[in-house]
Amino acid sequence: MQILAPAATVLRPPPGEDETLVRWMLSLSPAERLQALQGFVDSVSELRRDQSAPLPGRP
Amino acid sequence: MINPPRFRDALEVFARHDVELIVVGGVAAVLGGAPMATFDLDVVHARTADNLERLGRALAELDARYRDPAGRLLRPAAADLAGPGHHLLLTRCGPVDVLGAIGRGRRYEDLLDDAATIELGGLSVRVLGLAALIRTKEEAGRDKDRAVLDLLRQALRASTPDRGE
Repeated sequence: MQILAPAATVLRPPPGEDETLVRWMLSLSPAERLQALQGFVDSVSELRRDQSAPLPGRP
Repeated sequence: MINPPRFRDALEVFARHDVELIVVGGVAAVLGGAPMATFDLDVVHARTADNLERLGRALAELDARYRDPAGRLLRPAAADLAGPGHHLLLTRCGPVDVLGAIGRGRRYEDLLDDAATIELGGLSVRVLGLAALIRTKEEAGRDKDRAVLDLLRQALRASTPDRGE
């Protein structure tokens, strides 16, 4: 008899784990992984710059 | 002001000066396939006299100074880099942590067997493997190390599917 896992077990990875992201990272070459990290850092830096810029129409 | 990290540029400077080092920490985790973020480059350096000289030249080119809360301009000295301590630096390529030893006092020589040389588009870099990275983080036992252990273990399991698990 086949025992099916509850849907929640299948759909939701354990806390703190994300199989999809791990698989994606492992599909990249080391150089591409470093590029992904650099891209993340650049994006956050850009967001921080935008955040510190005054909003239009405000001093 | 803190310059945003430019990991590859920093590694290129170290490589140009032939600095013997092993990339550890978050960048090593990412290179090993763990989907995580970090803002500093952690390296463990060989503490031989020749390498300390090369490291000093590389750090000078990177305009390295200590991350000093008081804002003083403190440069790393070769005598200090010869010890097992951690040097938390700011450089023109972002924060760089130069570590004399990690985990339970593991030096460059102790980590060599667990490091692999990888190619980053024409740049050869020695990087600590995930299994050893996990071990050193378990040994360090700090909250920030424990926080990433699950993810590192998951990446290790996924990257070695034929271990019979």
